[in-house]
Amino acid sequence: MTGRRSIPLSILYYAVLLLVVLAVMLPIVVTAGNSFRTQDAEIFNYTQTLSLFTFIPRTFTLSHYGRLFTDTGFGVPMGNSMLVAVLTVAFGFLVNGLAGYTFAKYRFRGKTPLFLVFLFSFMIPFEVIAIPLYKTCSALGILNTRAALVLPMIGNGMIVFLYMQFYKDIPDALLESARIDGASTLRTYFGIIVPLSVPVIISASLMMFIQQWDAFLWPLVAASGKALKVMQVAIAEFTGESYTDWTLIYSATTIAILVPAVILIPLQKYFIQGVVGAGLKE
Amino acid sequence: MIRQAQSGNARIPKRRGIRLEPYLLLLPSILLIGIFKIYPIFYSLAESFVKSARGGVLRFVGLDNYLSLFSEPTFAHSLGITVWFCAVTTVLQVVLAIVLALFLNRRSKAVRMARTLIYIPVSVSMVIACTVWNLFFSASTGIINTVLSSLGLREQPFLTSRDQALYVIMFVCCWKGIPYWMMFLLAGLQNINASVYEAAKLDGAGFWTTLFRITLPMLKNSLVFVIISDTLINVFMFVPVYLLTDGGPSMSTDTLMYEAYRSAFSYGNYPRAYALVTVMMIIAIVIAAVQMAITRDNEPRAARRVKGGARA
Amino acid sequence: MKKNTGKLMGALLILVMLTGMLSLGAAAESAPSGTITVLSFTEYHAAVQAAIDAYTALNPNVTVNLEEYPYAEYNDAVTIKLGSQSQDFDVVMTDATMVSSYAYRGWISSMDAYFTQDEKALFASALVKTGAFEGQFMAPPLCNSCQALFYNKDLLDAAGIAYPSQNPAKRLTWEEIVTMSQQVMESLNDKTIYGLTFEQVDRPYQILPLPNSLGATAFGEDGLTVDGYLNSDNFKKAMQWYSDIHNVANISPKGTTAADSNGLFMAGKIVFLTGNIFNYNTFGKTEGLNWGYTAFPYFADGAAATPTDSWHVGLSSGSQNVPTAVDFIKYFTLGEGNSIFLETRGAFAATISALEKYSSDAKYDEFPLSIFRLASYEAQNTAFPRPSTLAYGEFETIIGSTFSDIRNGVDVTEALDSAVSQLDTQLTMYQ
Repeated sequence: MTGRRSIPLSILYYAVLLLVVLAVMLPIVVTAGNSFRTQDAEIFNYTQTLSLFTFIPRTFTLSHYGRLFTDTGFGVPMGNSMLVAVLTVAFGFLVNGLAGYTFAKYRFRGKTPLFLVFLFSFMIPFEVIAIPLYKTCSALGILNTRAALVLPMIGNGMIVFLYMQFYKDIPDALLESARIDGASTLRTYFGIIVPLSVPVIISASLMMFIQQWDAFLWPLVAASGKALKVMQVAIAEFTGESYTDWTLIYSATTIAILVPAVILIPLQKYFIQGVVGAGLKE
Repeated sequence: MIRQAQSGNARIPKRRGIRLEPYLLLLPSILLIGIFKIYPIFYSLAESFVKSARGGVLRFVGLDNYLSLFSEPTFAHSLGITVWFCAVTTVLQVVLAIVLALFLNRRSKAVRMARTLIYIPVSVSMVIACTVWNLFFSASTGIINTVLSSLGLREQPFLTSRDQALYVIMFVCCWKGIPYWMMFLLAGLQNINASVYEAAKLDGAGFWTTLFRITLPMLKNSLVFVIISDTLINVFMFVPVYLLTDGGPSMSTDTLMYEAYRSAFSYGNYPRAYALVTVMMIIAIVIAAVQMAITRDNEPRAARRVKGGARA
Repeated sequence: MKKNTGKLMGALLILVMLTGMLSLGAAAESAPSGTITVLSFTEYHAAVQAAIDAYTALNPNVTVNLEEYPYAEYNDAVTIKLGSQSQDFDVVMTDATMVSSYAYRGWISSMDAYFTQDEKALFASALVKTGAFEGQFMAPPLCNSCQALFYNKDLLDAAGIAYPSQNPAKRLTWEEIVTMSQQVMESLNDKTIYGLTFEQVDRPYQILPLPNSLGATAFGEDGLTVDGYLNSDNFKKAMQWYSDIHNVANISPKGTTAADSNGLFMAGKIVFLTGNIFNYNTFGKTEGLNWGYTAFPYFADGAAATPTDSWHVGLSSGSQNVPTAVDFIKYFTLGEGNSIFLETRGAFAATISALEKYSSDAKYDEFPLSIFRLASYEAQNTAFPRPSTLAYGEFETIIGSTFSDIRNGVDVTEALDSAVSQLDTQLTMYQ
């Protein structure tokens, strides 16, 4: 995979790379482009006859972004979504990471059934358990608080599964030597395992972040107050009973796409270098 | 798979008797998953055995909801669509995610930039992905048809055709899903030491031998995660149908999950919805169990030998 | 002596109170206090909040919480909240078509005890019927709505076609609309221009008027039979027309959704749009759009059947503060709160006195507010509400897909028969 290639092959490689990037980016470019169009009508005008303006706006305006933050106060729901997502990621890392570690490296009674139950728990789509979950949160008295948005989303069977699969790759010899040095379990975990698992921690965190960043139906019903409103709910409100404010939707959507991307870019280097040096699998 | 985890050599706990430690480490996740996931799931399961009548009064009816479900022509139809969608989409997503991960597993500035851009769909929500792709696939006003007609090609009905709608949905799922699953595979590829490849090269292994004998087996733990998670997610795929087709045209995209959603929220018929979900869970569990059984410790000897060689 | 007088006075007082309660309803006498929560939707925020502010100014002891959901998700949210038997809600905004369904599930309580016959008579009588379930008055109407036909003057000018009259007696037929659309499309020769679209494509609210105009209805009298109605000859005939405008005459765009229709009209891409009269507001603010309105069309061999529909206000069965909730509902539907709501929202009234204002008040002489006068005529003469059935949720979902299939060219008989069979499966739940 890492060998040298001939020049024609390299050209082919980069041509394919370019094509893939274009295919992936096109819809995002169009979305961002639409957010700069002067008015809704333009979106419909140019989609129907092919020209450069089908994809990019004829005249650029930033006014919708201004409108988004001043008229609709989009900053508040954005901040709420960010806070909820960050809290979920932080707690999710602690809770699911430790669970994954336990499943990967411990032998204990009831392990298989317990793991299956965890796995089973992530399959069920949220829409299906909305009513009992609402009842539970009502009984716990956490409705209309951030706890209702964060707590139910922390424990995640899929993330536990993800951590477990990756922790399995870490050689037991490493843990054994830490044990011999007298390190406690938590110390071994945070001191040895975690630094070796940066790529998977990033993947898992991104997954949890996006889950909350996208969350719609649950925040809609569980925390309906204005002060707690999250981003996707705010975006949905641009679609009215009879009229949809597309330019606002596109500007908000562009922001919603860019924020996680911007967070991810500096983390890229961990992804690539990460544990390569450590050479876990040998 | 679980048994495999237990059968490894140097496990940490060596003492005999029940140790509290693993349970303590699991306690937070057990509590959270138990309260917020498992309890609601069992609540839902229980409701598939009752019927609600006037005023929301509940009556136990045994398996009635299941029997009447199985007698509906809609059920077999939706089951078929769900299985077909899940099979095609999962295979496409997993295979292409592997190809893409291998393709991008290179170190160069251009590749790193491309990788960053390709990750962007990962951070695009399904709701947004559907809104955006709808702009492209819409029959009368869509960008793709505008392009087709200006190239002198026939316009396509896409989401308004019962023969094409499901494939448009598969496309949208792949657009988002391939980079998503690739992310985990790429993280897994990073765990493989370059010296393993060097050793393979010295042994004279070609591209395909290296791929099937070394790369994929060593990627196994990540692959198992990707295959199982992806399958389960595709069994319960919902948002694209909800946003793009509403199960149509002519019910051609009416998956079990969409039927369950309709039952609960449009029809107010929870028992039917929960019966549908139970059926889906059984399907998902069976598939996951089969996948786990197949992928259980079948690491080829060749890979082990290479591993051993690399260590030596 | 004094003691006795005191006792007597006390007894009298109690008697007066009891009589008061019996005649005026339990809520009338106890002063409203405490907290109530209103479930409403986001689009109505300004108007509902204005009415609430006025109410709390009158009743400083009352706190009114307003919980709002976007229109598209309102029913899902209500289903989760009321379906979980929550006691956190007191007042629930209810679409006319959901009154029966919410009542059947026990989510809203009867209001017979709180509204006198005289009070009920203050509402347009058709809406009192809509707000009832099995003979009980469940939810008083808040406002009504009415559909009209909007047109783009510039596009008609381009083809040299005269503007349609605002006089409901001279409304267009659907056949005329097809001809006029074809004329415009031919003379402009621009394939991005379409003749006709419906604001709510594929939704029963605007599509059922087609069969209704031919005298066909979706349900039988019991609200639970569709076979013989949904697939009757006249129903099929109307649906064939709906299919033809998309597949034969090609005057209507395919693959658009309700969210696109108004945008297309405002972009000048549509000659005729059927829509809620409330659109006068948005269209009036759209630059470069030169528009007019006329009454909702009908088939040449049928009669006018204009879609009107109302929003109602229900009392949540889980309410822990019924007296205050009822007091607020009255203020909101009959009292000053209703006028504030209508004024702020520009909504169409549901009370007889407010309807009369549309003909008497001079401000409704002028375009575009004159559209209310048309609506008021339609409400009293040609109104055809959506079907009254327990299974409206099921119906709307299934018929929505059916309309969409017909629009995409599926054979009309095949599509309607499939709808009948799907609906029959769901309707067994109520039999």
